[in-house]
Amino acid sequence: MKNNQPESDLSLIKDLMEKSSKFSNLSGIAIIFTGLLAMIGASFVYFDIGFSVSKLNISYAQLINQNGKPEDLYIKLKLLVLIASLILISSLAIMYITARKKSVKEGIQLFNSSFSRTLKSLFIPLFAGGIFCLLLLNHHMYGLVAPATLIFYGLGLVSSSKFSYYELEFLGYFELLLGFIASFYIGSGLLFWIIGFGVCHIVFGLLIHFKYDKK
Amino acid sequence: MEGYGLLNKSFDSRVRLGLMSILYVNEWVSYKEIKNLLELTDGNLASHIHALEKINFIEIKKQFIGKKPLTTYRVTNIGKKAFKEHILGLEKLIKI
Repeated sequence: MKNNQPESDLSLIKDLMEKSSKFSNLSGIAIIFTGLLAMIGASFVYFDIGFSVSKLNISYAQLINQNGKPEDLYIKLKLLVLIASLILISSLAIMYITARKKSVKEGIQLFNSSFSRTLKSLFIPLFAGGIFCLLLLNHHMYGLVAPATLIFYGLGLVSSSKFSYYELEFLGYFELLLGFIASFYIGSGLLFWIIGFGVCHIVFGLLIHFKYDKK
Repeated sequence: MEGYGLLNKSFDSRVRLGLMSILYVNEWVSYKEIKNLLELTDGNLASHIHALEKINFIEIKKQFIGKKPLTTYRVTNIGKKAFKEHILGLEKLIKI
C-alpha cells in the first residue's frame, strides 16, 4: 500500500502505540467472579449469617458504634478483617491465573512493562490505603475502614487506567465517590462496600467481557 | 509541501509503520506479540522485519526461555530518529 493518506497512517500509529503499550489481559469473567465474592463475603459480615460458631450477635452497626463488650467486638473485628483479607487474596489469585492463561493463549509475556506499570500504579495507593486502614483499626475508628478502602482503591484504579483499560478511570472515580458518601453515612459503610466492590465489579466485568473478550 | 521531505520510504508499507509504532513505545517485544497486534500471517511479517533489520532500524535478540526459543525485537536509536521524523512529516502534511 502506498503512503498517500497521512491521516490514516497517523491514526494507525496512534492506535498501535496505545494498544501495544497497555495491559489488557484481564478476564471479564474473573472480574465478575471477584464481584460476587465480595458481595458474598460482605453479606456474611453485614447480615451476620452463618456464624453459629459463637453466641455473639454483634451487628456491623454495633461494632462501629462500639456498642458491646470489648471482647465480643474484637472477635467480630477479627472476623471482618479475616473475611476481607480472604476476599482480597482470592480475588488477586483469580485475576492473576486468568490473566496468565489469557496471555499464554495470545502469545504475550505477562510480565512485560505494561503489566508492571499497571501493577505499580495500582498497588502504591492500595498499600498506602492498607496501612492507613490498619492505623484506623488501631485507633478504633472502625466505621471509616470501609470508606477508606473504597477511596484508596478508587485512587489506584484511576492511576492504573493510564496503562490499562481506559474504562478503569471511570470505575475509579465512581469508587471514590462511593467512598466519600460512605464516609458521610458511616453506619452504612459496608453497604457501600458491597456496591463498590460487588456490584461495580460485576457491571465492569460484564463490560470488559462483552467489549473485549468476546472479540 | 515540506512534509514530504521528512517522509521515509522505508515506512511506505503499513505493516512496517505498524511494526515501528509497536516497537517505539515498548522495550523488547516478541514475534508472536507483534503478529497478534498487527493481525498478520508469518511470512508477511518476517520479510518486513528483515527489511527493517537490514537498514539497522530494529535489532533482534534470540534467547531461550526454558527449552522454548524466544525472539524479541527492539527499535534502534537510528530507527527511533527516522520514525520520529516520519511522523513529523505526516503531521506537516495534514496541516497544509
